[in-house]
Amino acid sequence: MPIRRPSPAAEAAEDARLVAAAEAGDRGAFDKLYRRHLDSVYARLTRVIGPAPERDDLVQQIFLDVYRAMRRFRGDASFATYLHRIVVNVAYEHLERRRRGRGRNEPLEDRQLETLIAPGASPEQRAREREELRRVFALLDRLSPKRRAAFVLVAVECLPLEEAAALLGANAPAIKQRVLDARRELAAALDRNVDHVNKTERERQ
Amino acid sequence: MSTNERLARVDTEIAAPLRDASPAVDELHRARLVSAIDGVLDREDAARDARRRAKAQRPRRRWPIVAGAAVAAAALVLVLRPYGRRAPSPVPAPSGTVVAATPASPPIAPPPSLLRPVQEPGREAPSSVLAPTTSLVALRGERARATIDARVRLTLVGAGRVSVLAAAHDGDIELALDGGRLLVEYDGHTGGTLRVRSPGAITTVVGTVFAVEAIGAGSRVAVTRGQVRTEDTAGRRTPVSAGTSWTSADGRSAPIPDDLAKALAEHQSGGAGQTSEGSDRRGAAEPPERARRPAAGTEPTVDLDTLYARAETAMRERSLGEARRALETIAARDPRGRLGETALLDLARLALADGDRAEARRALDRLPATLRDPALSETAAHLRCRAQPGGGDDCPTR
Repeated sequence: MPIRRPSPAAEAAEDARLVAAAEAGDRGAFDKLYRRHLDSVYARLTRVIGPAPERDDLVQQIFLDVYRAMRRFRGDASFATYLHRIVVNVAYEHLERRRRGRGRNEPLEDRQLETLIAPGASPEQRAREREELRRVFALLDRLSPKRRAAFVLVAVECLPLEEAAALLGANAPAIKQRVLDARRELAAALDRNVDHVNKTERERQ
Repeated sequence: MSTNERLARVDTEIAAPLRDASPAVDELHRARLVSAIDGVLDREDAARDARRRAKAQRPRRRWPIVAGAAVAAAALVLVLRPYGRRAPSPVPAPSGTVVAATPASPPIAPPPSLLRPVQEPGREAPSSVLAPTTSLVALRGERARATIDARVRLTLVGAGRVSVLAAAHDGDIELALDGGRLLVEYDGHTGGTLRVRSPGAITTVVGTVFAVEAIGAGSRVAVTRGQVRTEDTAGRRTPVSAGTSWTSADGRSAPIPDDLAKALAEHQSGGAGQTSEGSDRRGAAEPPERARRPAAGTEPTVDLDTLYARAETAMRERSLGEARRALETIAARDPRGRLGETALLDLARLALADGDRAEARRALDRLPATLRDPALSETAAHLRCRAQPGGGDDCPTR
């Protein structure tokens, strides 16, 4: 018997119920709420910042921030939008910190990249995907945090510009421009010999 | 390659692999994450509770501070007013030279109305127990002994004078030391407090063996049993524990000097025999009463439950000094009992409410390793966590 996923409206209604209970001080309701969204938060965070070892800490930070801010949640947007705004904000701040401490940007290890590969893949396929993802994240590391976040939300996750703008706290034209700039920058990087990036990454390891 | 082709290449080579990646959380990882997030949220709850409790306590703490300050100011005015009219006279030595310590700051002396003629050296010692509103004088190298009720046993090593400022039979006793070394054994089981004013310091004690020594304009306080609290002229309070001494001049604690430790040991053992320091004169001719029974005519020893009820009432009314005295008495009388343990926890709580973590740790250190009540163990662990330097917000809830 196929598992019937609840409709988005039903999901939002359940979120609203749990939010109301959590706002009233029901910790159990908040626990349920964060567990419902844990996977989506983790996935989005990984796409934006890569399979960084700090992800677990950041996820904790995100839910702590949400917990602290529950009383300020006015319900103007859905809880999911509110939560993912915080996710994107935390990811952006992390990228900024990483950018400032460029020298401490550790190259991605195989086991980190392995977490992004589907379990059923053959060893050869896994190796190929690892290298591909290593190159992808090395290229994304060249972008500014603003462009990177916009690129991931729009070009990778295929969010509408308005939705991405809501998450990034900007307007749609600004996001469109950031995505375009990111695409141009990445295209230029690809033109400049992508293999050079791989080589550099290997040397850094 | 056209611009569109170049941009399409970005989608193919960068966006698509990332889109196809599956950054899912496996069950084990998920369980770890959930556990970590639960822990973070639990700590946040604990910190929130602590903040709420602190906030709830803050408004209640204001009025006793104001009231206490007003009472202290009034008491200070009452005590200091006589100085303007009459300075204490120095104690003459047999040779005729002035030997009483003359501190640079105004000497602490009892108000004239409380004074009776001091005992002159060489005269026969007055009979019986030293009564309130009298003074005890010892010349240089001389020892004078006295008792107040059955509660206080004093040895004054000259040259110096100790005066009784106030002494309620079942309540607080206040002494003023003007020069010399005062060795004290105080039995606080009836619930009162002994306070010794000396140059540059006020020493408060609930039940212990200690010495106060006037050194020039300052004082040294040494404790061999129990703990006392000293207060210097700037109002800084310092607890002095057994085995340590404190001086008002520098506010530092140090081991008890050998001669003072020896004098205290002799005093505690009853002070029999002469010492090389000089003659041994019983200012109060009667041997000291060591028994822990109240003096005749005083209230019989209050039972622990009544005392704890008093402490609770005092805590409710924010009469913190009175609460502490009652709790200290309970802790001293019932050190291994449930009520004694509860009293120590309450003392730790009061100290934490005052922001005095060191004092809280001292109270908690007096608890036995295993408490009678498991619920109290949990409370003790929580308070120990809060009493750690820098502790507080991260402590688990009780």
